[in-house]
Amino acid sequence: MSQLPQVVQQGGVVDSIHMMMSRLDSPAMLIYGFLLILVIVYSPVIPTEARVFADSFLGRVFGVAIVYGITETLGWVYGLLTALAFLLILNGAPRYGNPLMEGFREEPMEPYSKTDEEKARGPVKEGFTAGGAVTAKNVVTHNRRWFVEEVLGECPTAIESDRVTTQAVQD
Amino acid sequence: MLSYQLEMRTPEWPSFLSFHGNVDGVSRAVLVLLIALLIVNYSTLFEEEYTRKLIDLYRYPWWRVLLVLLVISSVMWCPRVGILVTLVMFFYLSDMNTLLTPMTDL
Repeated sequence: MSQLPQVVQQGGVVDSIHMMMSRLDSPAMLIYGFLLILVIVYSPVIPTEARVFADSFLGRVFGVAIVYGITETLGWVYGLLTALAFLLILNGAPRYGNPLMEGFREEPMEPYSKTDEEKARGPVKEGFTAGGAVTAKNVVTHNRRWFVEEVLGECPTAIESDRVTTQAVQD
Repeated sequence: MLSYQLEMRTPEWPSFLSFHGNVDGVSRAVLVLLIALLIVNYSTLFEEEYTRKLIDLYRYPWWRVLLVLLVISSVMWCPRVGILVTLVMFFYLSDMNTLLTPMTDL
């Protein structure tokens, strides 16, 4: 009984798969790339503590060192993705020095000062949910308060919306 | 000697600026130009708004995954295009993230 010659299938999809498998990075690099994709995609849900650490001096030094190390070891494609992820983490860090951290100042700007009633009432919570509509152009830079703000003891530092949409009266 | 003189007569662009004259090279150059114009447009005009579709799509994770895959594929195709696409993606993702962040957390 003659044995049939062993035939290795060639061509078609097999070659493409072999070529793709041979060109794939190592599993560790692929896992790292997958984690990077997750970090970039879900960057809005990264905890604030991690962002604050990334925004500190130590965090920035670590971040730059990690980006440089990844670029040198895994290649510039992974380095670019790492830099993108690090910048997205850094960008969302709260700025504690920003006066817009609260919707209202606890203390009015000079030359105004809180009355005894306002002091007894305590700090005023922000009266609006920003929802992202407030931009830098809505920041209140003058010291004059409106009458209603003085009555309510509010010291607004930003305006949620400065546009009013009106419609004609219709029967 | 003759080859040296020929090389001197036909100076070439630096490698990172050279685009081949075929369809691939031309499309790379066109994309680089378009993306550069897009970056200049969004970085120089104050309050340049994103389209409504881009704002609505940001909420979906699969859209952001597609954006990252776009970055990876563009980087693997052409480094110049990839870097510019990454820059555009960073601006878009950071702007959308800021837009959706409550003002009290800024």
